[in-house]
Amino acid sequence: MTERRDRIPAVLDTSFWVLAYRAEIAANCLDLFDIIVPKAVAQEIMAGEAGVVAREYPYATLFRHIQHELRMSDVEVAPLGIFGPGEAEAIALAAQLGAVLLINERPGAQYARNMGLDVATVPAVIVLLRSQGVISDRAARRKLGLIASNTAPSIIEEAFRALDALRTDD
Amino acid sequence: MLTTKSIRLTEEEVAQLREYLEISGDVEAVALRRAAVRGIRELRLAEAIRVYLEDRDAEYGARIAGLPRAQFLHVLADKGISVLDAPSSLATELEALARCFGDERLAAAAVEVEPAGA
Repeated sequence: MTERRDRIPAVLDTSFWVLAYRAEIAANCLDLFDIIVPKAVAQEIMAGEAGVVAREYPYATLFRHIQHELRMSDVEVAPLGIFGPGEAEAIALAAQLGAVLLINERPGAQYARNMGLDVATVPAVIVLLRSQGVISDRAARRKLGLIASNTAPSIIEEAFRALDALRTDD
Repeated sequence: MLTTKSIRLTEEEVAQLREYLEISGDVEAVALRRAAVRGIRELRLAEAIRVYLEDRDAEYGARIAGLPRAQFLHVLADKGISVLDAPSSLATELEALARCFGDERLAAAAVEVEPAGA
């Protein structure tokens, strides 16, 4: 069995999980991060649509299956007075724990950065996974392609530039 | 408890409904109810997407759509709508991650990503 490297504590927001699933990096993140899940985020990910016969979305299925590898937060924090419940608790919890915030929406990410938090979006984590040798250059480029339609073109271009820089360093 | 609502249809719309009922074998009341419920969901989602494209607030959009936030984000992604907008903060994120992981290669790559003149 491969020994797990030292992982960095990181608090999960719903937006990161949904897009990390789409980029096929949700499970890879566990190699690098000790992922802490705020209660409100777990509820948002597992929530079903009101009045609709139970249908589990694939990102929720993956979350349910690897939940035992994630750390459910038992820390009580006062959520921020802005944003929805998941995002508000995730930012407050990351601030309290001094952990990286995994988030993939700009308003919340910007707010957290202004609070002095370290923030990581899905494109940044794809580049990190490549740099840390968890995935190959080819896989990283494919994963960026999977979220290209959901990410500003300038961010995707910058992520490819970062991969180019890592490749020349090989 | 169910509430009765009445609507008026044109002759053409009634003909379309009749044609559908003949094909599907559905009972009229059941088909009309299903169509109304499905239509309301589609209307809510369309309005939620319109508002999201203006305000970029997924929480509010999800409430308009009547969906949990995760499902709303999933639907946006399925429709090819950007959920991570410019301006980019990628260089800053990579610098922070490089520091957290003691990753000098990533720190160097972050410098390459810095927009010109930054």
